Amino acid sequence: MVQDNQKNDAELEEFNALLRQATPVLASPELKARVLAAADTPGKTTSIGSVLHQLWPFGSLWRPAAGLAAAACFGVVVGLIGPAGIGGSIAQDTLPTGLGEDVLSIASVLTTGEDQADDF
Amino acid sequence: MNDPSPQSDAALIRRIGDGDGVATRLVVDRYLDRIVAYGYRMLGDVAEAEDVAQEAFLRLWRQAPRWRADAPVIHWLHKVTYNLCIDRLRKRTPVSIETVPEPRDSAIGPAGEIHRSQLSAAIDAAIQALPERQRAAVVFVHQEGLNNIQTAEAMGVSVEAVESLLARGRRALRASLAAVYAETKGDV
Repeated sequence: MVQDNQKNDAELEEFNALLRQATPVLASPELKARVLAAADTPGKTTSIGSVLHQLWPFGSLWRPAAGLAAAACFGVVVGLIGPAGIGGSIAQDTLPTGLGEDVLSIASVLTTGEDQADDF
Repeated sequence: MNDPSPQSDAALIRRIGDGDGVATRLVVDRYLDRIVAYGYRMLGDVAEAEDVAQEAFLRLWRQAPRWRADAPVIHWLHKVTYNLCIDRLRKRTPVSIETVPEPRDSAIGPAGEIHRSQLSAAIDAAIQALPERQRAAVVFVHQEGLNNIQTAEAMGVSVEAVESLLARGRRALRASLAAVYAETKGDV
């Protein structure tokens, strides 16, 4: 068993020595330059994530995005329903009626005053 | 071969993700030659090996911001390079075994006449003549210094499959390099 292991180790070492004699191949300086230049490009092309991270550096983005979407929906609903209802009630009910009553009561007071002055 | 730990590699890759040029150069200096050499052993062509190495590093730069420290960078590069090489080899038109140069026969002359360049050429030719998966396993183990488990991970196969590929690959190399092998055995 021990002899088998030693034989195997010796064979592996012989094989390693043999294959190390194969032609050594090294990266050319041009390839190194291309690879180093390429390291700048991915950072610029995949910068959406880093830009979002700079805008919201507090963790996952879904919470502020959900809040923003809810606020937008609320704004749309209020914009569609709210102003028409409020504007309608002001225009048709409150303002003309109230103003008309006020004007009529002031006018009646004034006319009563004029009648009393004529008596003198 | 002693590879850096996944944690130290992860720190380096994080710096690359932050745009640190020094870390980028360090990784290139540390691993590019090994990846080109592996590509050359697999493809038998320097230009193709450089293309594959460039693509592997480009993928590493893209991966840098999302890097997870579960394996050393060189293992990840080995895996990507292996897959790129296999893709290229499968796209190639089949080459006849007769186009691969024959290693020099020992009967032609005394072993001492075999010069170093001829020896290298004979070994290159013998490696190229191996089936692609045997070649990948032999180069990972005997040139890159990976163990069987690491080789299995890089190739996406079981350890038993690697052992089988290695055994067949060694047998084939020993047969085709009988003369060179005998000479090396005498030198060691």
